[in-house]
Amino acid sequence: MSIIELNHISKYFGKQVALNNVSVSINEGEIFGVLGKNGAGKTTLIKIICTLLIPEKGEGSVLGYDLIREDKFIRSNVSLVAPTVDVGVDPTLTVKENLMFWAVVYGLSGKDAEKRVNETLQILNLYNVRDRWAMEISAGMRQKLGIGRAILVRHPLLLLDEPTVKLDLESKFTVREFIKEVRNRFGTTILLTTHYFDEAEELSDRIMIIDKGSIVALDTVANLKSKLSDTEKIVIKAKASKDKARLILNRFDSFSPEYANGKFIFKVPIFSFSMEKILKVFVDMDMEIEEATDIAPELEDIFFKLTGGR
Amino acid sequence: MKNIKIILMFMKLKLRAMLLYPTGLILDIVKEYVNVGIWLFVALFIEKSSVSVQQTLTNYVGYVFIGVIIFQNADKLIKQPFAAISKAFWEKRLEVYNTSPFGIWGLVVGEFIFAFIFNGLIQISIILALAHFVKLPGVSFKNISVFILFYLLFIVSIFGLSLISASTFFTLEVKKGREPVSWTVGTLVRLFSGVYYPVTLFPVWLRWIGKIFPHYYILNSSRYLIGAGSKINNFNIFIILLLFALFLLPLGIVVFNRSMAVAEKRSGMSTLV
Amino acid sequence: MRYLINQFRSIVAFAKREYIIWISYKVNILTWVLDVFINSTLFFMLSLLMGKHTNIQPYGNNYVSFVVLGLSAYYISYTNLGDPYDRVARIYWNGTMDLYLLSPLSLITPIIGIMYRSVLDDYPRVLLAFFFGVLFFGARFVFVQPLSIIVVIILLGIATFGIGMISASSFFLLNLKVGTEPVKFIFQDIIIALAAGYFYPITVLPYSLQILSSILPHTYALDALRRLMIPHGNLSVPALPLQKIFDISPIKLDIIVLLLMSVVFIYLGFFLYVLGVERARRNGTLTRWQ
Repeated sequence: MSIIELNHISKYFGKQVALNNVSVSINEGEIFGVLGKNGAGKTTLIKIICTLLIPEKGEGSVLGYDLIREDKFIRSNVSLVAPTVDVGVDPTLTVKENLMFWAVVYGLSGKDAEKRVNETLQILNLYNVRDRWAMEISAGMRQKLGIGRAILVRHPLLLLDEPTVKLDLESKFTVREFIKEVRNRFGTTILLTTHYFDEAEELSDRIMIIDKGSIVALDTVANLKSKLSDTEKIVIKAKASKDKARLILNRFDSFSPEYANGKFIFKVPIFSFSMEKILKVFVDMDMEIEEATDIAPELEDIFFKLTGGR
Repeated sequence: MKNIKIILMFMKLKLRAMLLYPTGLILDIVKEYVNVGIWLFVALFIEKSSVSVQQTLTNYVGYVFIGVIIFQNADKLIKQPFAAISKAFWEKRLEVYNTSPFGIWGLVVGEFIFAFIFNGLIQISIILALAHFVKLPGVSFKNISVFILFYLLFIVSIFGLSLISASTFFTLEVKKGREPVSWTVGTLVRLFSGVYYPVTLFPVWLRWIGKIFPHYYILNSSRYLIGAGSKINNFNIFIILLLFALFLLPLGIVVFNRSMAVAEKRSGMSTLV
Repeated sequence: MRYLINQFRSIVAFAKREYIIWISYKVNILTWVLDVFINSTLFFMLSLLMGKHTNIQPYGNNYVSFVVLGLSAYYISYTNLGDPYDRVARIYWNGTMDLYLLSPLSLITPIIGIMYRSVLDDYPRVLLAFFFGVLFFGARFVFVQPLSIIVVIILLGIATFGIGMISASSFFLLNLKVGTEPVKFIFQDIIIALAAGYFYPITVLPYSLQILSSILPHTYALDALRRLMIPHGNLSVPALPLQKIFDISPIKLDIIVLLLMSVVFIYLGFFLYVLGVERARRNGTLTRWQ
């Protein structure tokens, strides 16, 4: 079932085109990644979906509500985490007090609020620091707190705009794992914008690549890689005499082989060729293999292929 | 010479910042007029409705007018260095200025001089605009010269006080909002130094409080020199204001330098921790 | 009904949060009390200067009482009129505007909730002004027609809040996000400061300023409160321009005008604010998050 349906959405700021004829459908329970450069239109898209911005053209629905006419209902059923850490986190309140405040704002009260906040703290793994001042915990924990605020009322749609930007490596890992858990535990549909290729690849069921306001690609990561890249690399590090090296290069001539600095590089058809075939030849020729690596095409390569530049 | 250039540069920066928001600048000038206007109406009301004021003070409106003009100007000047340092701190410029030996001093002196000139021009315009309304008689050139001398000595004292006020940014870690030294000086001066009413209203044993501030002497001398007050001894006032200047300026410099040394030890110049 | 209960509960939650923040600034509380004391002292000294034979009819003859009521109106107005714009700005600049919009809260609830800190700051100053005035400075009060007094105070609060919301609407409507906000400045810092009669009766003003004061709710509120609460206040002699035109009791006229102003300003304030938000949604200036 579609949670978000956008049809031919366009948004302009003066002469600048922020979104151009964007149509997309996002399914229930999906983690949908949006990848794009700065100014590509990612944040504009999120703002339109949560109705903080009105498009110039197009129509759509979110959670079954019309995007333009029923915007208030959409806003009441959508949660947002903005890119800046600490938005919505009050430094003068404790971790628990912060969530209790938002629980009331979101319409929970009394014992219900207390119960939900304690549950959320447990899920966030912040229960042990609930009585500490919000500013005393790490940035990663505060970002989790921000996401925790967003899931207090278990809205069916969660919008995350660059949720791990400005976090250190450990915090990034923690937050990414948490995002996956939110979807798995509550079935929440998550729309996530990001600059990080590894994050998009790790978290997203499908990815949309957006550039200058237009969609340039929309598919699963595997399909994107197979459609847009037809080869992958196999790199084998092995000591070889000149003769043996020449033999191997001739043997696998169809794979555009190269040999330099003790490494053999072969370009083979993606997903359809097994490295073992090449390794068997090395073994049969009594060559000592030091290392063998299979390098799949990177999402980064696909992104730059589609949007140009590097 | 190099330091003078630094001071001039900070003054220029301040002017440019002000001109970036011309509407804000106009509104600030209007507010000054309004603040004086409010007190003029208070004075007018008191003069009209009180027989005793009519009998004891020949021109109460003029009396208050001079008090408000001088007090307001001095109050703004005292707060200026603190405000400049606070702004620079929160905009993360302060520690950068500190990389130059005269950086923070240039900021403080430049902003003070700029405020003195800018506020001074506004106050002069208010005096010229409202002198007729408050019935200030014409003043002689001699009196104006003496007044300027006294006023400059007064400003030197105020600068000393403003440095002491600014030092609390580092020593007491007052990073924003109300600063205790300028607040205390402003409060005591307003109440006890004859800004809005003569100090003779107080019992004798309380009158000394107002006299420990230079404001008391400049107010009395200004009222006499501009023709709205009782006779004074020019020489005595000159000596007193000179002593205040000679005491407060070096004190302010020492206190401020010490506070910067404290800040450098505590890394109190930076918002990053 | 449930919606209203939720809004009320949210305002209480905001109030609790703002209280915690307010109480953490302990030095501010001290200077807050001192401020009121010092202002009261200043005007007490002026009343001493005036001596016993003062005439501030139709508002009795006690200048300290006169000023205490003026200060009270000032403190209420300072929050109700001055705060909404600042609160909208605060919500915008700290990024929580988006979060409040994506919640069941009405557009106004966060503003009212966050204003609680200013309410804590300024409303008790009214009580302090009375306390210091009566205890130390010879202010005296009577309570003629207590119901009228309460109605006047409530209407003053509502009317000034309405003007405050008009001021707040300029944040989005006119996209005035930096610098001085003109509605608040012109009303609070110029017109009201000069012509509301906090520290002097408006009859002292030139006639043109008295006409200007006729558009301020403060003028009518202070007129009514001073007649009703200062000993020997006259309930029947007209003092304001409008009172000289209409042949009804000055108190009744004050209340009618305050009521009209409350309705008009509140409606206008809310209408313009909502209009501003819708405009900002269209042109992308609603939130700081880009």
